[in-house]
Amino acid sequence: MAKLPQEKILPFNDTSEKVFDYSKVEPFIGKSSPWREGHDIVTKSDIRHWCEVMRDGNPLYADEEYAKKSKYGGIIAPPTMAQVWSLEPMHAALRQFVNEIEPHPDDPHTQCFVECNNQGYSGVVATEQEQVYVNPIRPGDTISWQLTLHRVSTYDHFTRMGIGRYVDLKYTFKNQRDEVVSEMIFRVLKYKPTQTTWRAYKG
Amino acid sequence: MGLSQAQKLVGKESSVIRAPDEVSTSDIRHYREIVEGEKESWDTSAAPPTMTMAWAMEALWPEKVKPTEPHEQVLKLLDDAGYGGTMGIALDQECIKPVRLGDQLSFKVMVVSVSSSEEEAEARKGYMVTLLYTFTNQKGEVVSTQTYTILKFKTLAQSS
Repeated sequence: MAKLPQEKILPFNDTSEKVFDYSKVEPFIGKSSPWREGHDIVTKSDIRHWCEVMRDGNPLYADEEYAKKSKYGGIIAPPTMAQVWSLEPMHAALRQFVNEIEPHPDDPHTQCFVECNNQGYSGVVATEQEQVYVNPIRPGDTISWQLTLHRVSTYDHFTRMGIGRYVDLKYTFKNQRDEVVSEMIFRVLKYKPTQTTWRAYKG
Repeated sequence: MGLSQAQKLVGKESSVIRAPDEVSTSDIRHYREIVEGEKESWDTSAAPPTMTMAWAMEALWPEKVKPTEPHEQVLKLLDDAGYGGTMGIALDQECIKPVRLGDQLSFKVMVVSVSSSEEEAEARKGYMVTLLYTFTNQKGEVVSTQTYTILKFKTLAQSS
């Protein structure tokens, strides 16, 4: 009797399909990157560019006279803009995006992402940002930031992108006087893609 | 056709326009990154002289509805006559004084010439407009003069 070809479709409870090993990412949780300084100081021109793109006509960000009379006593930057000063220079950002070369491979969050990739959760999509504003940012300030790996889902989420885990990154922004200006939780979904982003780019 | 009106604006100069931003380290870094490639760190203590035109760039928003200056009117007239495409053809720069951090530049624009008939450049037919920019700093010193030639051409969508 001829042998039937082996069934390719796995049953839903098949144990040969690997489950995400949380213990591999657990050591990185709560760990922080070193403090890094922004490439630019806060300038009025960067604030103007942001306000134009966001179509934010708040005079507190542009009108010196108006801002002087406000409780801040001068022009401030839009608080939502804090992350701008943590962005990499253009060439480094392109290298990271196109060639997936991480600028800071030793950071805990980078190591966590690498671990997720190794376990097949190689897709990434930004899902949420949550910001808390503590102190105003003013022109002339130097913004530094630190990235902490805040949380990783302990169970799989079933999403439209596929099966994935949420990874919460916590940014802390401070100025040159060591005052915290704002905090931000940046939530990304690391998921098992049907085709990786890398392959989609390289064809 | 408003093209004869455009000819009448030749030789007219705009009022003094204040650059939207003062010369800042961040803008210099952005310019150097794009023009000079990659480096470990950037010299942002003085602006590259070729960057002067960057400070003459208009705000993205809110959009200017009505053209008030002669050079804006010329471009608007050509837009209305069906030459909606804009292409920079040549930019001659003369750098006279260095532009330093914190400088507040102002500029005037003069319409030097508008071609009298359709010309062809870069495989496109249209009208050439030559503008003369004069940049001054907050002390009233002329830092740079620049001649900017623009081709206003019929876009594919307009010619079909």
